[in-house]
Amino acid sequence: MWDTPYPWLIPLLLVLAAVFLYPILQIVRLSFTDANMIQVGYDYTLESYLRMFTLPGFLPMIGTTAFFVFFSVVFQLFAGFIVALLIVQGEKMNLRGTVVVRTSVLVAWAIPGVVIGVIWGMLYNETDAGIINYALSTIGLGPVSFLSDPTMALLSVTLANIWRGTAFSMILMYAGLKTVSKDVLEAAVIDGASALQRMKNVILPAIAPIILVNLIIISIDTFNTFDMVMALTGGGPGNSTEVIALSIYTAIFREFNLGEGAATAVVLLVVNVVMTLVYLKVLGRRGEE
Amino acid sequence: MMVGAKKQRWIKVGLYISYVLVVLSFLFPLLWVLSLSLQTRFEVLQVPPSIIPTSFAIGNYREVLDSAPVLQYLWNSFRIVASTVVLTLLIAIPAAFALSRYRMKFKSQLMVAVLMTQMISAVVITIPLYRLFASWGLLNQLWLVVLVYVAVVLPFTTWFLKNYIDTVPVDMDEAAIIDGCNKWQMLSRVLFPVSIPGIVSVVIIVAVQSWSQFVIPFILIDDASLYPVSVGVVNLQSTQTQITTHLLAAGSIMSIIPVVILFVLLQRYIVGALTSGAVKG
Amino acid sequence: MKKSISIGMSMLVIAGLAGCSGDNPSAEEKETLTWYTTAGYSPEAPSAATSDYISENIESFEKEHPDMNIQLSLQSSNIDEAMARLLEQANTGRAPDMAAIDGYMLDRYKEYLQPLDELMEERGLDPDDYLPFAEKVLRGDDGKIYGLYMSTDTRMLYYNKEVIEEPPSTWEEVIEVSNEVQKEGYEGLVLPLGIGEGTSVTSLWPLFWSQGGKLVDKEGNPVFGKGENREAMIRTFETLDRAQEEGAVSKRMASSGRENDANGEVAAGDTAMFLGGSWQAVTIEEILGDDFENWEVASLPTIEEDDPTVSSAGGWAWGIFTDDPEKKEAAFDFLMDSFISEEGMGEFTSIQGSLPARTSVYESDSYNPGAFNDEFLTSLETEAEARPGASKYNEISVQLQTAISQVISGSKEPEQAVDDAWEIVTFGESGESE
Repeated sequence: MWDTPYPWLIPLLLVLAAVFLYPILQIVRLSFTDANMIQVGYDYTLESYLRMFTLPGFLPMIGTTAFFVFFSVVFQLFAGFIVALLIVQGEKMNLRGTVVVRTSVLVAWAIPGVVIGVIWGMLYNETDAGIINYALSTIGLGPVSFLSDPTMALLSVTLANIWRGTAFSMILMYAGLKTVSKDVLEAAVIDGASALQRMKNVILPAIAPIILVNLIIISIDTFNTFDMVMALTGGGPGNSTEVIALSIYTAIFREFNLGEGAATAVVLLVVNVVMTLVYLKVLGRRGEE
Repeated sequence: MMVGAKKQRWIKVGLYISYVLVVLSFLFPLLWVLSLSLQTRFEVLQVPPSIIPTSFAIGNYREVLDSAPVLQYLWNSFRIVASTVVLTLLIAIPAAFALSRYRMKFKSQLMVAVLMTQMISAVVITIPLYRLFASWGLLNQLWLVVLVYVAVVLPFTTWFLKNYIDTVPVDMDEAAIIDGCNKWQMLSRVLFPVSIPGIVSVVIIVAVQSWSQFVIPFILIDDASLYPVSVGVVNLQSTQTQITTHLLAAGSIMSIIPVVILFVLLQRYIVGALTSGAVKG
Repeated sequence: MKKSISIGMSMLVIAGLAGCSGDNPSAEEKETLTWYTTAGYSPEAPSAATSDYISENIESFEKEHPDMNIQLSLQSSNIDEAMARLLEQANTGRAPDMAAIDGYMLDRYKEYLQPLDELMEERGLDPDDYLPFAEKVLRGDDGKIYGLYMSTDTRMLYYNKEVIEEPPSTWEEVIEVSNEVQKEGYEGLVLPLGIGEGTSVTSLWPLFWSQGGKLVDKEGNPVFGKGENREAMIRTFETLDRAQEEGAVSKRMASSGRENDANGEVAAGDTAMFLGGSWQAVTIEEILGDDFENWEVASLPTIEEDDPTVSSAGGWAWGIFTDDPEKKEAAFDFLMDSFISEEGMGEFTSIQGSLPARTSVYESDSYNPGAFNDEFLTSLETEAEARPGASKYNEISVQLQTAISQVISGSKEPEQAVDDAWEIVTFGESGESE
């Protein structure tokens, strides 16, 4: 009687349907209305979409999001890989201190995004009492407008996000590097392969799958969050750091514009779906190899 | 390996230098905030900034505790995370088992659908849920909030555990069946024990993600006494009273210290579980 | 922790009271009075004085009304969100019996609120005693009074008279004075110009209103980007932009959106003047200690010498939603005694460090005036205006905060920024309203 798979799956499907299916249908429906949080009724209209695509704010917002996601992901991957490599190398040579390095990076992973925003806000303090600006001033630089210059603010937010995400990326990379077989590496050394060649021909191919998974997870996460940005800049100055998820929140909970927020949410949803499809395609191809 | 001793030494020096750099860049922000949290309102604003607090104003912590229920926030976070972890496992383990061990129609489609939900931003789903809960008068119900937390981590968890169980040889199942176990016993007595490393990884990842979860409680909870830490800190940051840098720093430190301590104590197990789990999963 | 204890305590108190009085009606007959309020105005307020004051008032109310039971529910700390939720509850017929409402938004709730004229008369509360701006907010189109304004605040220029002899009264002078004090190592003028409501109410609206600008028309449709209003808004932006370009205002202000951000600047010791809210006086006094003596307040600077000075006033009001006559009266009694009567308002605003919304309370013995009390009162009586309660207001405000922040941080020109904000706010509206 238990010998069908369905009873095992029912709770999963119920929860997912309740928490995902209904909201998604609702958000799509709301995006075709002029609903707001202040008045009761609403009409069906395409206005939210027209608005979104014709008004001056949309393209910059997409640009900001793209910049933020792209550079966060690239540098998280890169930094995660370098740190993982350093640790693995140190462990191989039985160096002391690898545990300290590992732990200090890991700790960043356990801190909520909002707190990271608050912490970096203190580091980026633009007066001379700000530690980074003070350090810069001792070598004759600055003060840098970390958060009040539009371009700097985007860079500052991205840097804080790289710091935040490197930990998770490092763990995955570390796990991947641990699996690279010692025998193969030693064989490569005996064959006279240089460090660079070993990296290119042995290490990278071996951990490629894990890099891929890492890439997918962190790019989706970066797209979908706004907590750190909200705590750090609130999207400002102007809207220079307003990433898409934050823009949804602002539209709905600060401007009370439900229709417009829903339309932006649908754009984010489409981005999510497209990324999933790319993910599946890439994974599928890997499976065939 | 036939690397020259001299070269070895240089590599070592290089590694140590980079270790110092890495540790500094990851710990410095935290240490700086710790330092701010122990400075008086005046010292915080001094130029040049003092890296080691001279005033050692431990009273800041008292002051924060008096004006904001940080301990309550921590307790709420803990309650939410613990319930999320338990409920997630209760749902994900059977599902992963079924997906791993049964043949069924549309299995790959189902897996894809489950995975799809993983990609969807919590902002997108939380807004309609907020409207729904609000109209039913169900905001501020922690069990509902936990349900949403669970839903958000379920897809990943199910996939991960399914892949983990896939690595357990089917021979073990067959042995169990010969011993007269039914499917339930097979799962609980055979597969569960051998999957524990994978489950531990999942527990850690789910716990960390739920601990940091912000959007869901931020939108679905508006009773300040139910806020988890992540929302509580925003609350602390935006309160119209005189929370200034030193107090905000103290609040931030209090909100992360329990997890930081936990991570430092358990780091060996965490890394171990994550690496073994991640590679198999 | 403390909060949960205090909840527990107030529950015990409530429960204890119910058990005490002999001829107490049984629990089933007890009416529940639902009370939706912000944490700051509740027994769970972070300040012990506030929380004690309110707990005591609940206690004595429940003693006098043994058949009533106050059931507290707390608003989110995000005011906009809390207000949206309250409106949604009212829309769906689930409004609480009484609620704290951000003063200027009262208009949005009027169709659900009870007129209070009769009860006010019974208790001898004259609407004319309210500060002019508050009375305007409370009065509905039908001339009736729909709420009880409790506490308020106003914005002024704070300055250190040791450094600045004569406070600047125009923005031209702001630039002059700033450049002078900067030579002595002080900052120029500190004011919020980033994303946040503080920017709108402190830095934008006073200048805009002082030139006669209107954000919305009578029907609540945006008009700030049309005709003379547009000119006034562009001049407001240009004035602030120029002050930044002349070095009187630091670019850094583009990332500050709250009045309270100035507290930190003042504590740093190199701030000689800032635009801030009346509630900040207490904090500044605490930060500066004896040096506070050197500080004074003056009216906000205007653009032209003879422009009228305008400030914006905020604060909170109470609204009663229940139409059950008995509950309505009980709610009125509770609010009146705790927050509105001469004694109640005097004591409560003194504890809060906010300003009474009724003129007579300023002379009351129960009121303990803080620093600059007289200046604040004059400002409230002669300069203060409230934000429009129109439903479009929040969007207008957010867009213009964003716009000024873009201008100050150098990514847009004033005219462009104002026109872009206008385009966003009025998109799809062809001038006529539905």
